[in-house]
Amino acid sequence: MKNLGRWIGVACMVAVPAAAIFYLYSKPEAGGGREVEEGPPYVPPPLYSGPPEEGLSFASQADPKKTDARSFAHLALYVPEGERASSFLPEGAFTATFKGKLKVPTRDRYTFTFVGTGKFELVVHEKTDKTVVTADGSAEHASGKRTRLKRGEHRFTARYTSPAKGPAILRVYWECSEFAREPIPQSALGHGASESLAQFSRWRSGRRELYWQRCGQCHAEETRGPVAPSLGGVGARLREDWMAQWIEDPDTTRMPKVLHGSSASADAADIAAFLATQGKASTAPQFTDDDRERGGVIFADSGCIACHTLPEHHDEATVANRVKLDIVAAKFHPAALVDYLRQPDRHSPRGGMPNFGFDESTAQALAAFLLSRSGANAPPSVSGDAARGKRLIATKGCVSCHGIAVQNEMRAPGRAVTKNGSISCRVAEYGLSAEDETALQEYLARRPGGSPIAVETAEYGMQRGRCTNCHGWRGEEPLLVRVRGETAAFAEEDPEAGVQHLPPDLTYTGSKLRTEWLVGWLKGEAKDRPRPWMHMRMPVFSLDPEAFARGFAFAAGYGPSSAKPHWRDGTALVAATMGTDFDAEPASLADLVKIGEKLIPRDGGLGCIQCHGVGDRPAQEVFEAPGINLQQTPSRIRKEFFHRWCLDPLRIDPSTKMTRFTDAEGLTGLTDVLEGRGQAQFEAIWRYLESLPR
Amino acid sequence: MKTLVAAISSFLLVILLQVPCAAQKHPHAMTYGPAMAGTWQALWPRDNFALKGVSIRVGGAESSAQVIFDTELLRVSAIALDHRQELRGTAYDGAHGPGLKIVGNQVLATPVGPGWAFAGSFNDPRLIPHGPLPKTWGRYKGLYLHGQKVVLRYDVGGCDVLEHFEVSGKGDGRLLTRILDLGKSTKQMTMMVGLRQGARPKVIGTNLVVLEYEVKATGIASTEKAGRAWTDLAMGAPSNNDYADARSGNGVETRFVEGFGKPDKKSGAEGSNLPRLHDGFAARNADDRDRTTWFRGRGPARMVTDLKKTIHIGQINTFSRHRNQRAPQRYILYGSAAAKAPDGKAKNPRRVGWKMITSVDSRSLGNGGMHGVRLAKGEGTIGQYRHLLWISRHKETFFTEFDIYDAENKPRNSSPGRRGSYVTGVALSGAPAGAKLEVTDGSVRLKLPARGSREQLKLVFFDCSGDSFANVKKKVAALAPATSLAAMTKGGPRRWSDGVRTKGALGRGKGAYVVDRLGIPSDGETASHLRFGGFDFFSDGRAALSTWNGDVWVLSGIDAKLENLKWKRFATGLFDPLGLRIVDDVIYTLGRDGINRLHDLNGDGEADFYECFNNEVLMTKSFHEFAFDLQTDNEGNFYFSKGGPVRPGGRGFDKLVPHHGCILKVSKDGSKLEVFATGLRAPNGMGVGPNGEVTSGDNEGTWVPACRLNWMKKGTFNGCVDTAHLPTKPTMYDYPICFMPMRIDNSGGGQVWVTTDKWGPFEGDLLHLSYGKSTLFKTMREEVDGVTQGGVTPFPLKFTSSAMRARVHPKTGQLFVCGFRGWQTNAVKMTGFDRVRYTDKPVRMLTALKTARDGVYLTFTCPLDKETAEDPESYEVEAWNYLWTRKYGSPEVSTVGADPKANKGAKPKHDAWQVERATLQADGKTVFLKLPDIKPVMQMRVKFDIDAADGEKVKSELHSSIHRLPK
Repeated sequence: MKNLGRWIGVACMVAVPAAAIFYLYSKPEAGGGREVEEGPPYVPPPLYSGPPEEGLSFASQADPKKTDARSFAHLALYVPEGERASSFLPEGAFTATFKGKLKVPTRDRYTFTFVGTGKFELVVHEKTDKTVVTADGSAEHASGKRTRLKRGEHRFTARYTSPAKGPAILRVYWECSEFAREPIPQSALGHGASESLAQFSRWRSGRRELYWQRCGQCHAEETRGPVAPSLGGVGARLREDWMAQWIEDPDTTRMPKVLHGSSASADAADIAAFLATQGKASTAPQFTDDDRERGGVIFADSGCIACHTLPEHHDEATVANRVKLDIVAAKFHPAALVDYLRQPDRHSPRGGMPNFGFDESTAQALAAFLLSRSGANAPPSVSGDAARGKRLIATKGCVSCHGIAVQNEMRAPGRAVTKNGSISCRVAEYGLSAEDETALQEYLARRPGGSPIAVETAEYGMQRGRCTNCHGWRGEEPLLVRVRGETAAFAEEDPEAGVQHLPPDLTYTGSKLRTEWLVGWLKGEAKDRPRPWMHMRMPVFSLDPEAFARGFAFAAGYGPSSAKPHWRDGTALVAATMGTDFDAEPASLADLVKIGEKLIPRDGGLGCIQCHGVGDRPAQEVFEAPGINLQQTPSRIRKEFFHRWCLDPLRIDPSTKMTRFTDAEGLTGLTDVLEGRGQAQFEAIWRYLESLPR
Repeated sequence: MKTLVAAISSFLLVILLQVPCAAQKHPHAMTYGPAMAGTWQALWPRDNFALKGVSIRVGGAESSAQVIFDTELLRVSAIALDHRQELRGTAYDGAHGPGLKIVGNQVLATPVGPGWAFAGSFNDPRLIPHGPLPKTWGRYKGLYLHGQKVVLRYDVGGCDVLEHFEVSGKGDGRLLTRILDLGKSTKQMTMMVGLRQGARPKVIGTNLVVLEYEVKATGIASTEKAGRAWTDLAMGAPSNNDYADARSGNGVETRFVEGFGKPDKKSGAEGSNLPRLHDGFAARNADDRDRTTWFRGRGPARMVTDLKKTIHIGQINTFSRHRNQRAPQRYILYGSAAAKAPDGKAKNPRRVGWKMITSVDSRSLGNGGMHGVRLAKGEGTIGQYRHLLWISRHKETFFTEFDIYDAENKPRNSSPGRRGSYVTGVALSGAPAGAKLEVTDGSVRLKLPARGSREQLKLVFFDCSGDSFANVKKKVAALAPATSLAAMTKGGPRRWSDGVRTKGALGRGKGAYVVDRLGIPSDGETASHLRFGGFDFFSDGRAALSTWNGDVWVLSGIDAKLENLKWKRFATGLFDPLGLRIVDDVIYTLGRDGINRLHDLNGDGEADFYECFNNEVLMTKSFHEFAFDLQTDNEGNFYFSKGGPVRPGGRGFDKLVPHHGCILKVSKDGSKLEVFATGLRAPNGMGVGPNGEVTSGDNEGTWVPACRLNWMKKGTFNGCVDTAHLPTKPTMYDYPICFMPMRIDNSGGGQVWVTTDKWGPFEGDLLHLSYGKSTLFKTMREEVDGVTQGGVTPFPLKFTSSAMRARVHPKTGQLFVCGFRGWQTNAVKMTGFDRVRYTDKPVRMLTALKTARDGVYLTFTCPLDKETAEDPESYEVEAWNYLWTRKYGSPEVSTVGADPKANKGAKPKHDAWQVERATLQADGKTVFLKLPDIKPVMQMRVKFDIDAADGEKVKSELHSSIHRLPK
């Protein structure tokens, strides 16, 4: 297992060199504007063209020379008809090869099941090669023969050929005497690094840098890059002194440095002086002690500490993928800070700060708290020449990225280029890490094109959104767990709050949540919160919710869930994937609904109501772990996941307080209902929940 | 005063409706006996709890009153002239937090303190306000049942006291009589008779004290109930001429706040607006769904009224009407003068700027009818507000109108309800010469002279209006003198039927052990809620089982076929009896109030004397501090476990007293109680071995990172710091035999020792039960360096319900297991009583564990197949630690790179331990696993999948703890 962890680590490093932490915090080396250095001409490395190595490699069926490779976490794929299977692949049929290691937890007889479309073969290289499941494309699922596997890590190869028509779907399940049929979990899969993975990964990074560094705002690139914060009315929002300091010496991972040389200070002051004339700060609100105290509680209970350090902290040691708040007082006019907290995306639609939907009084309290604690870091006072500042803005390229009513006078260069082993930007200095710089060079040299598919968007979005600061992910605790203690002194929520007071783990998001629900949730449009007991709230991020939700699902091999029962999310497939034949159920749907209703209470049922409310009926005896209101369940989670969860919740979440009601044979203690068959009882509950109004 | 009038005038109705709302929710209608033990709360004075109280129903079911007797302080904590109660709590409606209380017409109470003076003083002599009075002061002896009558027996400073209650009359002339039958006493005695909140007692002669009181509004809220029509209300009917009325043009709107109770769909909500509250229309009948607004859903309901400008509010009237508990109003009102309303969702509205105006509760008017609440401050105004926040604590109230008046237009007809003078009286009847009633410090006391022989007297209580006082006095004068109560202490007529017959079902498995299910009668057949929490066997093989709701049932007919089982109710009204032990064929039960000994004085199969054997255990009113199990050692001493007062929600503890989270030991004669071990959280069950070995389980929670199987000597600290009761905060716990992860035990049960050779190869072994996972475990123990450690492996059995208690049958040597479903468990049946029968077939299980320096020896009950036994692949070994913190439970963390005591740096992860070699030992049954990684860990799991020598599969797992490695 030690080795497997290392592979995954290596794979991730290779696959995602622009890990958010690096991306946002690495500082450029000291020095002024970058000069083009003399040296040997830059030669990009040769294209990788060897046999598929570990990882997930693709080839187009129409043009086998069109290939791609990326890292994988699931032995699964979902590609909608007419879409690309991977970034650098053309649309249309393809083949995919997964190579890696399978961690077999215990010596046992395993049955593997393929669910999907197209042809598939999975070979486990134990002492001999064992073909554990094959599918010839004629059926939507196929199980292999029971195969005895030894405990430990075994190399495997999975080959998949997508169908000529329709979506490409691939999911692989396994089962043994220890656990029921389940998709092979991410924790049992791993793969090593390979040159092809590294190469395609660099291209992805380069393409991403081209976008996020906004090269296209000046250069003739198709990719324009994200919208930069608007400078219209900025004088009403930001303090002049702070703007001068920032312009002179910005965090180059967020904004390039454009002023160089001995006049940089004066230039910055002039620009700030001009910007300060853009709008007039509103009168500062009357902050009270009560505001400040309440703000602290909100700061603590909203989990702000997951992505920020406390305003009074200046030291780098505590940062760990968080944004420091020590400059808040120096940067914002107080009234503008209140506005920003209410609507952070108003002037900076692609900024990192999500929208929590704070109301006025909450934002005011939060602002009062932040301002009261961050006064220490005031920049030196400056005064500049506004008229000269306006000229500088027009000529230094500021207007290329920022919206402001000034005519851009910078000459438009051609396409972005690399020259002599270096990226040649004569104007600005960017905070690129060495790896990112290499990646960008390589991308610009080859220009392989393509655009990220949903799976990649979701993966990168997770980093940008700092999702894992609050959410557990693939066996890792969220950062929040480690840093929550920093606000314990003024938190109202019990500092000992257990796991159910943390945002949920995201490991199973793709197979668990219905995509429409997730999209609505990400947009902040969901009617009910699943965990209303939590003080923390899910904010709205500047992400593409559709791509994000689809990406999670596609990576796990699930399509967008449709509202209507359909074989890909309906009873038939659940029956197939769970190994249960619901069709043999003697009860009609109406009967099942009735049975399901009777299974909810404690008397004569499974007692779901003890911990879970159902609609207006509250949970009766919540102890330590409140449960999610079950009325939301059918619209929120996929049926297959519901069944797997009910069957053995601890298998999915070892920290859950939900008990397992079934024994190894899948029977519950309610022997007089549906012959005691757990799966059938859970199906009845599902049918009942589906019958409830939404 | 409306309270009293309503209660008495509609007395019959009250009787019909006396099942309170909480009990209606409780699906198991149960007939409790005339005496029901529990922690009973009186309506007043504040915090008047009888911690070990007995609610005595006085009079027949048709016309009953109630008395709460506090068995620790020997006082009548409250007298009510009706029998309305709220039965709430985990054992009743499952609620976490609330408990038992009287909600009816309480007329008298005593302060929380001794019920009898000692050396002339009523000062509480106890160091903390918990536990019984010192023995020299007085002690409760128990209660006798005689049909539906109850006689209490207790001792006051050496004087034997018998006490009985009677009720007579109806309506305003109703009398409740306390009959005291007092033994000899060389000393003068003083009894606390009681007080009435808000009344001045006045002595009239030596044998009568009256407590007159005025009925008037308290605070700014006055409540009243209309008799026949809204216009009967002194405050006036709902108005269409107030500031807030829709016709006023002021635009006043009341909107409900999202996230709390939601208005019922038929409430006429328009978006969030609730127009019916200001429409000027009043409900025309008890279920007028066109004119009322009521809520559903989570928690209390919240509404915010916007007056559209800040006004001086002169008066607010709120009106509600429906049947049952949906009529009373119960809300807190806040106001704000700010232009923009503060957040109506705030947990604590005061923190966001709301100012509290008042809280309202009209439940004292009784359920049903037309309730009016008037908020006004004399001639002044309520205050200046723009917004009002209503937090309706009872979301189902059917509100019909909110009238709000500005100061200028305050209504004239606003006198707050009917006022008047009323009298509660205490009279002394047939008292010995020299006895007299006195008033001291506002309370009534009874002074009794020394006595050379037994004497009886009556204390009479009544509550009436000034008019009927003269009549009542005549009735008191006409009372017959008190007579001896001795006749009622010898057993009386039977209360219940001969019994209910059921059949059992024999298990049909192929294994060495099968589970036979004893048929359990339905609750309907028994008028009781059967959930078995303790049991034991008589020497003749019959069983006695206690139920969570206070019964004891005797079960006969336990034979091989289980076809003629007979269940007979033996006792009822005990206080959560979750332990039962039979010694010399006498039943002892363990409840929260201590150990009771049950005597059947007249041999009719029903207990007539519930003797208090020892009630020295300290307890509080916390809902979750159960007392569990009852065991004896070979010297006859009793042991039981006492849980900590876990807070609602599960984390942390309420107020702690020295017996919380302890194993307590009571001497054989019941005279002495001592703390045996500490540091437990919620130990549902324990065991005592043939050589006095003391064990218990415990539940994951605060300071209990995972379930523990404790092995205790006197003074052992079992890990829960809050209940350590040590002079300094402990930095390390005494080791359990082992920890158990959530997956196999999330909530422990009791233990049992196999004291027979008739039950397979496990004689002398300790078995453990899991309540949460309904599992029976075989345990393995070894001692290394004086530290006991070991592990558990499950029996492959399925029980009817959970597995809470187990005992070996004295005749057949078979194992019996009972359990119920009361809090979280994977059991789905409400209760079960099962027999685990040994079938004489071969047993193929792990039976012993021995730790070596470089591995472990596992011994099985059967010879093993050499090939699979020696294949390292047949075993999977993992190890992990837990974090010992005050958090609720712990993740399972790696043992590498972290210090479990420092509780940090540990990753949630299991460590895989390589099995370097597996060697079958010469006995053919023992395997040595060489484990190069072995070290002390909190949890080791060994999964094995091998063959027995006969080819059968031996597949299971061991969960153990390694505290020490041998040197």
